[in-house]
Amino acid sequence: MKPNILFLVIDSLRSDQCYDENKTSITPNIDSLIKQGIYFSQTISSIASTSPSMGSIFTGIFPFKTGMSNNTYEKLNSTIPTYVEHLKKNGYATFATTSEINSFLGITEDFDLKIKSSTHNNYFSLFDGLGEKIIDKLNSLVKTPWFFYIHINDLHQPIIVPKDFSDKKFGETDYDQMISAIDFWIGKFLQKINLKNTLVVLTADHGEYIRSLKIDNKIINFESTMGEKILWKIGNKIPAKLYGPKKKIGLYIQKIRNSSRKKYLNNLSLSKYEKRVLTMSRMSQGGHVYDDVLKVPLIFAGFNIKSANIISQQVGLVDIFPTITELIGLNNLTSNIDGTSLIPLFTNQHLDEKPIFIQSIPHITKNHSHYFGIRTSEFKYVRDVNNFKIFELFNLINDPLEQDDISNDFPEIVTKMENILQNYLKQEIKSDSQKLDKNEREKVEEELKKLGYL
Amino acid sequence: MNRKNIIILMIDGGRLDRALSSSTFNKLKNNSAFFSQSITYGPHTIAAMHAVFSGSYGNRTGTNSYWSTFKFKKNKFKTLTEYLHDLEYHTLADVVNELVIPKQGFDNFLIHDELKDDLTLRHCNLLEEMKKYNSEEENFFLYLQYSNIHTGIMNEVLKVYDNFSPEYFSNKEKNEQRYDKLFKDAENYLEIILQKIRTLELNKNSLILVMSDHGISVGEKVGERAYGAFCYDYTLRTFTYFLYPEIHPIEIKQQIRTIDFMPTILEYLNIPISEKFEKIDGESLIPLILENPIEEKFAFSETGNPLKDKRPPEEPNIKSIRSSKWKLIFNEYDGSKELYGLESDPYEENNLIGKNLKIEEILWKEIQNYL
Repeated sequence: MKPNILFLVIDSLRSDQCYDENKTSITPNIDSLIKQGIYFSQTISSIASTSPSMGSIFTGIFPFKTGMSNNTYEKLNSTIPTYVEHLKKNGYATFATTSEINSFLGITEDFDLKIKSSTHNNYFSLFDGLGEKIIDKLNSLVKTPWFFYIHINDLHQPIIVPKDFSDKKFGETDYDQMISAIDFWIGKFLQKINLKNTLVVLTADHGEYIRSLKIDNKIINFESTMGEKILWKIGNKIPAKLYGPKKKIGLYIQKIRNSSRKKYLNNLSLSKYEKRVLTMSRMSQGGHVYDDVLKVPLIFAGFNIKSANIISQQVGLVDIFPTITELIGLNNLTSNIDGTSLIPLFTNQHLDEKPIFIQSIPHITKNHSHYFGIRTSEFKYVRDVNNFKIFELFNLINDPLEQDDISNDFPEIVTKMENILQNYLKQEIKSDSQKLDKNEREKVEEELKKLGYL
Repeated sequence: MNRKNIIILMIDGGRLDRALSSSTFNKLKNNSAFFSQSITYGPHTIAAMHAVFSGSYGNRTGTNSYWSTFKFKKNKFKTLTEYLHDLEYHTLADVVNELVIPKQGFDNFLIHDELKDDLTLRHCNLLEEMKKYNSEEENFFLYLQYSNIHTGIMNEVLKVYDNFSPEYFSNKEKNEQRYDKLFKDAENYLEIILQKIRTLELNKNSLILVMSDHGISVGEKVGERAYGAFCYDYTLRTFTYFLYPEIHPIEIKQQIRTIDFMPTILEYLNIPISEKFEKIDGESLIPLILENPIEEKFAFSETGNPLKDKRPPEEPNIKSIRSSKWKLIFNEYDGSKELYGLESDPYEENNLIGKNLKIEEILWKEIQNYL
C-alpha cells in the first residue's frame, strides 16, 4: 500500500528561523517533526520567487529549464513531465491549496482538483479560514493514497501577525511570531494524519530578509509598516480599476519609507550585511541571490523514515521529489533531471554534493540586472547574465554573511565555478512548446492570411 | 465492425437564428436531438474546434487563440479522432486550412481550396469513399467543414472593412442580406449532403452531427465586423443536431457546451475515457438526449480582441462565463466587466454591472477559475 504524502510549503521560511539555537519562535510541532525525521539544514532554493521555484520542485529540474525563467515569467513548459502527473499515473489522488499565481502559471495543472477548490488568492490567511478549509479537506480524504500540497502564504511580506500571537513570547519579530502562529496550524494538520502511513515533507519555496536587527542591544526594526499591511490586507478585494491606484499608493509609501530609512541608516556605522538586511527586499537589485533568500528548511518525517538525523550537507529543492518517489517505492520520473534522491544521506552514507544552480528573479523591471551563479557548501559564485566580467565570489565557510568578494584573490575558483555554470547552461531545453518558433510563426501567419485574418 | 460511424458536418460560421428559421434545418429536428443553446468555447474556428475535439477548454489544452494550433498539448489531451483511430476507424477530415482542427489521429487530412473547390461535389465524393470502407466492414469517422460562409465573409467583409468601419455598421440591412445569401448556400449544401447520406444508407449506421463552430456578426456591435473579437451570443451561441438511427426526437433547450460533444460521442459508442490523459472539461449529454435531467453547467468562452490592431493577439484578452440566464464578460485588456440578463436582454444591450446583483458576484467568482 502506498503512503499518503502531505507536502507543506511555508512561503518565505528561512532555514535559520526553522531550526537554530538563536531562533525565537515557538514551534513545538515543527520541532517534533525534526525530532522524529530527517532535517536538512543547508537546502538551497535556486530562485527566490514562488512560481519558478515551485515549478522547479515539481519537475526536479533547475528553474531556467522549466520555461518559467529567462527574461520573462513564462508558464511551466507543458512538455516537461511533472511529479504530480507521475503520482497521479501511479494511483495518487492529488490535491492542492495554493495561491492563484501558481495555477495561472501552470504549476497546479496536473492536480486532480478543479482550480476552483485548489487555489485561493494570495491574501487568504490560515487564520481567515484557510486553516479550517484545510482541516475539512484532510477530514474528507477517504480515498488513498493521496498527495496534498499545502502552500502557506502567511509568512509572505508584509506579515500581519494574528492577535493571539502578537506577543514577544512568540518571537522577537513579526516574522518570528508568525512562524509560531503557523506552527499552531501545522499541529492541527498533523493531528489529522497518521504518520505511519503518511510521508510529511515540509519546506519553503525561498527565504526572506527579516528587516530587523539587534545592534548594540538596540533593535532596529524595519519590518512592514502599517500602511503596507493595510494595502496587503485589502488585496484584490477592491474593484479591478483601483488596482492601479493601489499599486501607486504602495510605491509611494515605499519611496517615503526608503528615503527616511536611508537617512537614518547613514548615521549608523553598519556592516555590509547589516546594511543589506535593513535595506533590501527579495525584489531588490542583486538582493535575491544571497543566502537570506535562498537557504530554506527541508524536513522528511513519517512513513519510511526509520531514524532521525540532522544533515548539514548542501542539497537542493530539486532533490525533494526524487527522494519522495524513492521513499514511496516509485521509479523516478525520468533520468533527465537535476535532482537526486537524498536517501543515502538519511543513514549517513556518501552522496556527492551537487553544485546548485542559482539565479535572480526574472522580469522585475527592465532596469534590473539579472544574475545567475553556482553555490556549493564552500563557495558562491554569482555573475551578471549578460556580462561575464561582472561577478562576485564568496567563501561561505569563512564568510557566511557574504560580505567579502574574494574573486580577485581566487581566479582559479572563479574559472572552476564558471565552468560548472556553463555545463548547466548547455542543458537548457531549447524547444519551448509554449512559444511559437520562427518557422511555426511564419506558418501560422501564412495560414491566417489565407483565411483573411491578417 | 460493430460500432456506428461518425460523420460531423460542420457549418463554419452558421448562426443559430438563421438555423431556427430555416426549413432545411428545422427538418433535422424531426429525427435528431437538437441542442438550441450550444455554447462554443471560442468564437473562431481554431479555438472552437480544438475544444470540441479534445472535450476541453483551450485555456487547458493550449489552443486558445488563432495562433495556438501548434501549442495544443497533444501528450496531455486525447482527441476524439485518436479515440476512434485506436479502434481502427478510418479517419478523414476535409477542412479549409491545416490549423483549424487537431491533426492527431487522422488517416487522411485533406485541405480544400475554399475559393475554387465545389464543396458539395467534393464532400459527396468523400461520402462515397467512406461507403466503400464501410462496405468492407470498416468503421469510419468523417469530418467535413463547410467553409463557404467564411469565404463570402472573408471576401466581402474581412478584406473590405475593419472592426470599426462606419460604412459597415451603418448598413445592417446589407450585412443581413449578405449573410442570408451565404446561409442559403449552406442550406443547399446541407440538403444535398444529407440526401447523399440517405442514398448511401449511411444514416442507418452512423451518428451524424450537424453543428456550427461559431456565429458571425451582421453588425450588432461596433468593434466586431465578423467574429473572434467579442464574446456576445451572436457568435457564442451555435446550433447542434445529433442524428442517429434509433433516436427519439427531442429539443434540448438548456445550455450545453460544445466541449460536451466529444464525451457524448464516446459514451454513445461505449468508449471509455482514458485516465492516462488529462481529465476533460466536457461531460456526456446522453442523459439529456434520453430525457434524464443533468445540471446545467456554466459555459466558459474566451477570445483575443485585436482592438485597433490588425493582428489578433496571441493570448485571449476577453473572457466570458455564461448560464442560460446570465452572462458576465471580463474585458481583461482594460479590466472592465459586462453583465447581461439573457432572458430579458438576449441582444446584450443593457449592461447590469455594478447594480449590486448577487449574480455578478457569483459569476465573477466562477470566472476566476479560468483566469
